[in-house]
Amino acid sequence: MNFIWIDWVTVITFLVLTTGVALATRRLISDYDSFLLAGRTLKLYLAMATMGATELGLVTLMYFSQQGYNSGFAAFSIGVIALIGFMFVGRTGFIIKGLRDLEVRTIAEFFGRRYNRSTQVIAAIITFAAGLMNMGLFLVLGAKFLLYMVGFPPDMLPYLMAGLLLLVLGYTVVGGMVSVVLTDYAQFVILFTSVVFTTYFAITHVGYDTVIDTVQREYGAGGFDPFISDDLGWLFIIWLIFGIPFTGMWPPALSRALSTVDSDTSKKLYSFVGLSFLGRALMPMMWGICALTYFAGVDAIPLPMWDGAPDTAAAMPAYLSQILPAGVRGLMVAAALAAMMSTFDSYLLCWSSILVNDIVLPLRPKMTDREKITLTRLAVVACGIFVLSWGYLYKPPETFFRFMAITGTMYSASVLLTTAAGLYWKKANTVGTLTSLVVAGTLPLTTIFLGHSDILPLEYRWMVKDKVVGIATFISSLVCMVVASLLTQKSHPPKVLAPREGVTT
Amino acid sequence: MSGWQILWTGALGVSVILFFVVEVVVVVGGASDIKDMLASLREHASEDAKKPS
Repeated sequence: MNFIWIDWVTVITFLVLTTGVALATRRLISDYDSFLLAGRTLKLYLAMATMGATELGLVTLMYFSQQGYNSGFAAFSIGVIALIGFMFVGRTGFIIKGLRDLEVRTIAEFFGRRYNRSTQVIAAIITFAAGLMNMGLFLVLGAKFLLYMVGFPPDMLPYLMAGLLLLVLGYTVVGGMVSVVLTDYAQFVILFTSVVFTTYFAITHVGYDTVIDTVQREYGAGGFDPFISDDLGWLFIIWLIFGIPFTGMWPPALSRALSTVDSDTSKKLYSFVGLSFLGRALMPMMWGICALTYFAGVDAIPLPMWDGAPDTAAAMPAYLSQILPAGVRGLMVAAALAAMMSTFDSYLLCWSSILVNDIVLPLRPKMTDREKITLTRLAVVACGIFVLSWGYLYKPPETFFRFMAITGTMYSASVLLTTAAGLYWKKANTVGTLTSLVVAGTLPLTTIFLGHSDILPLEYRWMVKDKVVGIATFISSLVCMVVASLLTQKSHPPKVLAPREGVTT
Repeated sequence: MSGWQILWTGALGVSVILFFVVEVVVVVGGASDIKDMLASLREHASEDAKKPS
């Protein structure tokens, strides 16, 4: 066991304070909007805190550190592309301004207003499926972090996963978005502080010059140049560039933009909080690179194994558990729990709201606010149980970040691309949207389920590589949208939103 | 150091500074936003309580 009493005291104090907030805010939930969107009362700084805390999850720390371990400094290109994306969205208001002006609760609701209910339900199902699969790895990665940081035996993993799930379900079900926002603020403070401190400890322990030498020795020039990296390469960078216009629009982050007081605040939110997204990627990647340096050294403990192979995802927590001083280690675990809870609660609430608002409500439009809140709470629990099972059973291909990227593409290339078309292209119609949604919503499944199986002959396996499928998904989605819409203008004339409702006229 | 090494070292330094600046700005500004949000939700809840069911 790596923990001593001061570490335990830090972690337990944090947990008691955080869950207390959920109970204290329960009486403020008077209707569905206050449960789901905190009554649309988020001002800029609080929206930044909640978005920053939500998007910097424990899973983020884990998959970025693993990517740093596997790709070296070349992985930093991912953070730079994310920063460019946030600056673009913040400056132009691309998609977020249009949706906020329409006052929709979820992105699929836009499909109902711009197209029809069937399109809304299909968009919601794709969003829900991509989101749940993406979230499926949260618990297992969070539990692995705790396992190696605290020093629990490996067979404790499923129990840790179940314990973490119960903790998050507890206060999400009780408090809704108000408790999520308040705890996000506290979590933002502890999380951001710990990330900076940990970066300092991680680098100074091994020494920056040693880190550079190790990456050069292990990966050669590809450890620095993303275009010649064995792990990344040209195709990977092009794939990420395709996603730039849709940066930060994963539904839980988008729900922050929709919860702000107006669309200008949404744009400022993306511009300001986007500045932290470079550090959100680069600092945990640096932990992974430092872990690579540490485990390549002669004095290191052995790298943890999983299923008979080196567990690169466990390298970072195993490294930090060895180098952080007592007390700081407890603070880091409290911060990691904060990171996990702030992300997981928001994601659970988000997917559940999509299920209720965009799949159930179109079929049962006369539900009362009370019924919607109850159903959303039940959906939160059901989603949590799914995530527990998926995380335990599914073995993701290559790195965890690559899995996140392909599930992200499943959503961006289908739902976001067609949303952009619906907002900015007058000729976008139901047929084009449905075709694009179905094609882009299903293509990534080939990578997710066939990427590392032996079903395909060897010579065809390049076709299901994530980089190839990612690029193909964006291109085919756009082509389907344009061609199908233009071919069916007469049979399915585009629906025009009234000027007061949206940006198309 | 090669060009890429200098670039990534600089990027890491900039990322730490930006991260810290965002944290300070949000912590200070967020405190007053919380007060406003709670006041608004309390008002909304009391209005709802007065409405006939």
